[in-house]
Amino acid sequence: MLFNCIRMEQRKLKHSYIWLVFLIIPIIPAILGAGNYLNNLELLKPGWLSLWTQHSLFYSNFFYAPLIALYCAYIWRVEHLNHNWNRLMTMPVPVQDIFLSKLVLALLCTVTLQLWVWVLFIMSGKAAGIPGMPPVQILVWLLRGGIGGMSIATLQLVLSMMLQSFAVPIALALLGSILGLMAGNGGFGWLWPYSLMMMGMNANRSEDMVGSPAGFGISSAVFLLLFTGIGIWCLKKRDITAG
Amino acid sequence: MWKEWKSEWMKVRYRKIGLILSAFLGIIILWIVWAVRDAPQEGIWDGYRMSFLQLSLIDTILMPTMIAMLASRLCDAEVKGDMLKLLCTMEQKGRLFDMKLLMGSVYLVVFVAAELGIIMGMSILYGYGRPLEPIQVLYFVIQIYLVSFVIYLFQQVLSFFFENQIIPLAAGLFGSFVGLFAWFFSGNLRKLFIWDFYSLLCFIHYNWDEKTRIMTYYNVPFDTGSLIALLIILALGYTAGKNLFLRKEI
Repeated sequence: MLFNCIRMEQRKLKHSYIWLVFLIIPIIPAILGAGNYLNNLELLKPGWLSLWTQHSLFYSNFFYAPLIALYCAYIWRVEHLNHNWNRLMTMPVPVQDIFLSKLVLALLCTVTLQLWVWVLFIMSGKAAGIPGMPPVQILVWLLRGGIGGMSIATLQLVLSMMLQSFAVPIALALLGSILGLMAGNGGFGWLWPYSLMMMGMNANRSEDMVGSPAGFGISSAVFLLLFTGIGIWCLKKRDITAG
Repeated sequence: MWKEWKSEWMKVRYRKIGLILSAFLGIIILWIVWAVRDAPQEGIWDGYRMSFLQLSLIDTILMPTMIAMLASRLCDAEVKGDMLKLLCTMEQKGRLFDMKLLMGSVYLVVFVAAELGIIMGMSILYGYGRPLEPIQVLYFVIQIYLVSFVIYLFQQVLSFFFENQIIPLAAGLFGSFVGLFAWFFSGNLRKLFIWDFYSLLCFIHYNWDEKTRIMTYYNVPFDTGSLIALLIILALGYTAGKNLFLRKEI
């Protein structure tokens, strides 16, 4: 049933052109990062790690989470329109499968986005004249950021499900990112999913911000399970307001 | 006109728009407190200029997305509620566009006033040494309010035009990115995008001493050329946006 639900969700996204947003917006931090790197070559040590500090600075601190939020809001959008909630909730489908199918798509989106950023990172590095290929370590950071991003995706799915507005969850993701930047700098990054993503990606750092990979993994898993549980519980228990 | 104005406020009742804007203000307060707490004594002494610069920067990141949300929220009744046809049988189409624009501008006035309040509050709390230059308050209002208003106009046109609100919201995110971009690069290319005017109209610059890690702030002449360009964009944008709305098939 879960597999069928995933296919149904994919069909809802057909011809939506949402992929265009994810294709275009990450190009800007790639250009910005490469430009900043070239402008500050006298301050930075030339190489892939320095380019990473510039590339990840704005992408992870301010824009990755709102992009995830945009996707999550979009996959709940159909339900919030034309009384579709009533239709959805009367379908002979377990509610956990409805939530999990959307979650699977959101998680796929977070990882695919990171892989696209990796491609852009290599392209911008080559355009900036950096020889060779980037260290695999940066790809690991990106994918680790994707794991942090999964906690955000789950939280954003819950928010987009509960708030009927398409725009508000995206605004909240931007606020969450800025709070995440502050929480990470204050040493409370483990407690805030938006900071976890930044720590995972080693945003604007060349040395590893994650001291304990196990702690990072546990924290991400706890948030993922917690928000998934909350999402399914809300779907089961809350009265649906069809808008 | 009074009735239309009142009906606009009735449409946004219980939509908690003020609450969301307050959340943005809350983050701005946290950001300023964070910046001031981390600043050396010299920075706190020059607190007004530091605050103007910090607010300009954080507004460049937050405002485009916040304004996209605000416009989308204000146009919800017409777009999501599918009420445009009904409303246009009762009031002039052009008037509806103007009322929405006025509504957005009121929210922006309150927001910019609150930002000025934050600066004043911080000056009392931390005791800034260098006196405030009143002209800089005017510059700040022009820089933040006028640019935000032009962005709001653009977002309102997008929100009315596209039933699918992903496009206005994606434009907001794109604007935040492009606006940030403009802070780090120079050249006339910056005048191509409305979001870049936050940095173009900034009247404070800084020098960063790498050894002492101290930032020193200094005044730069207000860019009247960019202001005139922005006013022209506003006039053209209003005419084109309203025309598009009037010709929209409902």
